Amino acid sequence: MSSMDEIRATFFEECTELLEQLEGGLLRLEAGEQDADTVDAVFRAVHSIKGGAGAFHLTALISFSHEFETALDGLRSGSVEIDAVVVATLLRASDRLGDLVAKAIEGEEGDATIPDDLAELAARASAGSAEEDVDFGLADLPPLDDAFEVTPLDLNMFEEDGDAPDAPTAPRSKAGGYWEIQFEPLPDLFSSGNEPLYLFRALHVMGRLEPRLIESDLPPLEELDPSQPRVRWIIDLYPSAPDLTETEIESVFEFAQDLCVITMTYREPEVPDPDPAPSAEAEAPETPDSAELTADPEPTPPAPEPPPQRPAAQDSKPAAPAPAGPKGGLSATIRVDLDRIDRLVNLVGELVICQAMLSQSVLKDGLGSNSDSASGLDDLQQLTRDIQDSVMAIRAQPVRSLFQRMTRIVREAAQMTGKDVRLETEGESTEIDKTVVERLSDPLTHMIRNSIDHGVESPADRIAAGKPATGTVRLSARQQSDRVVIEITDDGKGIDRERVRARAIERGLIPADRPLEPAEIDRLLFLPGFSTAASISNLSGRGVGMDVVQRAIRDLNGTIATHSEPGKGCTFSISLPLTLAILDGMIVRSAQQRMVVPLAAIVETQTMDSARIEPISPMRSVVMLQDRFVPLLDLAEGMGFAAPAQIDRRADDDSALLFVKPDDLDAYALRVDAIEAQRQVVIKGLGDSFGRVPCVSAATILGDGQVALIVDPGGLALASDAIRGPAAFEGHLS
Amino acid sequence: MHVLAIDDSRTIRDMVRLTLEREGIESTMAVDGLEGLEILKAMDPQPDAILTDVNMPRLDGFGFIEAVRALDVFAGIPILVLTTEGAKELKQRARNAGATGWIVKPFDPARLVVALRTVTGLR
Amino acid sequence: MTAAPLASQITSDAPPYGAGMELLTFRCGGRAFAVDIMAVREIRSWSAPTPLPHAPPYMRGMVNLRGSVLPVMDLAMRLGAPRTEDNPRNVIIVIQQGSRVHGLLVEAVSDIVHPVPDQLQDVPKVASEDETGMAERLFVVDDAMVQILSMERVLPRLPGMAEEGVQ
Repeated sequence: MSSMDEIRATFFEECTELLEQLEGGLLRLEAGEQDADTVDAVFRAVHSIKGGAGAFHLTALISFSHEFETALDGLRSGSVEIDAVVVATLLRASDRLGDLVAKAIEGEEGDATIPDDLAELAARASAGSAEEDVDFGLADLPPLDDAFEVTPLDLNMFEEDGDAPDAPTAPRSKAGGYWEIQFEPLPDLFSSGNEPLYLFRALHVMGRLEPRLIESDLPPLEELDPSQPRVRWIIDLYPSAPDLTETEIESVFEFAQDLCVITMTYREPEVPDPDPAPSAEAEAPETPDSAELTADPEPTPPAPEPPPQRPAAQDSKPAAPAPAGPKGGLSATIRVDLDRIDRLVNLVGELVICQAMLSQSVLKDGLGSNSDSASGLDDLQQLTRDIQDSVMAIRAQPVRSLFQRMTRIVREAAQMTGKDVRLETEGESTEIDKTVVERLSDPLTHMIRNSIDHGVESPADRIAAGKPATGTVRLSARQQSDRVVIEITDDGKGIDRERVRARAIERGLIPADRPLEPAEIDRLLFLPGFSTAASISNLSGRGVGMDVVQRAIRDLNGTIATHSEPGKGCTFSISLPLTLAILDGMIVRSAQQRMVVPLAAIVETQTMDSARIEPISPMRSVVMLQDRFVPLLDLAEGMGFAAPAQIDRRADDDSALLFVKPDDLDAYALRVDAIEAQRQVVIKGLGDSFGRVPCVSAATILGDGQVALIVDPGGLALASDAIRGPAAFEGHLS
Repeated sequence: MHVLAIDDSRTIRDMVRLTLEREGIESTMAVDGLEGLEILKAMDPQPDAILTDVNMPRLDGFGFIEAVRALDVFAGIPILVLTTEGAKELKQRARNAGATGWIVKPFDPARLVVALRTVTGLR
Repeated sequence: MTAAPLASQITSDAPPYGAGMELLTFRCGGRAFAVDIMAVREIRSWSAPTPLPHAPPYMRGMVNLRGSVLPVMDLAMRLGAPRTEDNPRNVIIVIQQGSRVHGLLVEAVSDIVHPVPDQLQDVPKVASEDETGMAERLFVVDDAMVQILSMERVLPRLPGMAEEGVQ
């Protein structure tokens, strides 16, 4: 059934979350937060996985999570002390559990073999709890679960009408007789929500009832305590099915077993008496409510309706819509198909464009900024922005789950390289677009492997270098205005620049005689075709090079920068837009084209006549930015729309300089014909149809409907002769 | 019939919802005892029965049942506990807290429905 | 309107190629061409494309297709003819091929025709693969010849027009 499939999908989705909770909890335990809440949360996560797995007959998952749960129960009960070894065992078990879930998702069984350390832990745990069982005095417990023994869920049950359960085999009643049932409620029956009337009704389904109230037990009315039942019934049940068993009758009293005294006797048919209704109160046997008149022990009118505690219960039968408590905050969350949100995001994008177009045409029609239309438009703009923000917030997700996934990567990488590494995380609640979170997983994985493989030293080397034996990889996230910055820092030996340089030369990526700044060498890591991994180990080399990481980040309109200090460690900073869909940009004109430069990359703008421009070659100039000369590039030339030409000051035009600083590169200046406006634009991906377009991150549609390119300042710098090799310029200047 | 079902597992919630839906039984869901309590207090009319998990964050099943039973207006509502198999002491604790009955997880949909009909007296 | 998608007609031999086919014919670089109408999503009037940096000359740029970005190719240039002059009477044929949507800039759309199998001919083999051009069949009526273009060959191969500018 498709609804079962959906629940199955839900289950796997939930498993992913539970695994994250599990791992998060275990890591807190590892960090020393060994409070009961954390232990409980960890236990619950495994428990819930087991519960769901049971529903779907995922036997490998059930048996593994059962053992896991047993071990965790030891932590809860205190029979197992939490220490580093235990936590490590549990972390490995959580990885295994994750593998089993992944297998189950693919419809495979997976290997449910219990690792020795986990089995040992579980054994310790259950040894501890066995003693406690003795203390509880198991023998005194009533036999509660006869009828409700585990019945694995049969999916076909959903297709059936929910008939009465199969009764275990038991002595069958002989035809023609009746059951005499003595029923005496104990005081607790009523406080547990059981209701004799309903028990009788359930019995009535099995046949005709003749209940008799044993009146002699009744106290005088003034002494009657409604919560203290002092009544007793004898019910004669004439089964409609001749083979009604005692077990089936008992099942009615299932929940009331230790809350009442029940005796059952089978009576042979009384030969001459076909009309066994001695009590005038007994109604026609077919009436379902036949038991009521005599049965209701509560001091409430014996109306054929439920007791007044639930006066409206009957009225709320199937037809009524779910009476969701209006004030109770019924559900804090709803689940929405991502497609719907994406559609909304697109529509909001259209709204932004439409609003911009409208503003533009109002201005064009000469309506002043004081006009009603203009002020209405201001309101509209504010509303549009608010809607935009709200819609974006829907897609936002904390990076926590992403970070948690990395703990496993660290563990595995550390194990594989024989290094001792721990992961520190910070800012896990920083939120970012869901798609970004998902698409960061691979780049982060690779970078962390890279850090452990190439950055962090072996324990011996670390000690020799005067560092703690355990290396640290730090993953942090923070919001910086409209961007999110994610940093991966290790305290290893830093980028081995000599080696990187040698390798780049060996691979023909740079000329052997080219002098390079340290930062430029670091940048070589991101060149396609550069991979230090193959020569060093098989860990990070298995996957991809850093060029692929950079591409993945660029695809998210992000940038990546490195900062390395020899002997101290290395930091990779990824800067990402908060959302994929909206960009704050400066709209500029160049070569008769309008283009958008991301505001985040612009550090300063200057007019041409105020700028200090110095030619340094027939075709090239540099310009002063904060006491330092930086390369100057004409945007049209950089984009390939105009031939290289010397840029000089022409006082008669609107041209301006944008100083841009791509995260991973040095600042440079871009000459544009004019700055038109500064506004938010909706990012339109170039989609499948283009392949990769250099110097451009995406496109947008401006207020007049025209497509405009969004410039990628980093890509532009890398593609331009005027900017590459800043070392050459600096030689000139100093 | 209208049932308030409380379980922190979305899977179990979905299964309960589906099971009940097929029997024409309405359900309202809560994710833990605390939310269950809030919802219960807001429900008008009151649910005919409550189904609750034991292991839950914030307020567990026992705490929930005790809280419900402490309020007279809810004294008559049958409460079934969803427990894991074989956990006898859990059932005893549930009983002590004031539970009406129990259902073993993974539950048999038919039995769940029969049990609900038995304790509510409703079809 | 019973035409099956092109691909299946080429690979399966059950319905003879061209049976029930509809062709959109158009002029481009002074010559007549046609495409299977099943590949045509819509025909748009001309609007000036925004040029793309470092793109092959036949990529004229992008236009706004109801809120999304449509790449536009100068078909004449793609076929080796001179650049199509900017003219408001030019049209853009929007072609859908798989997940890719492209615009073909042409001079004018001529007609929709239903060729009978007799009017369809194979493209004669010429010296090299390159020179067989972009046509997959010829549509011959009276003594005029119309090349039926293979969109697979016309659309540029991915990955794209230029590699990342890092070298």
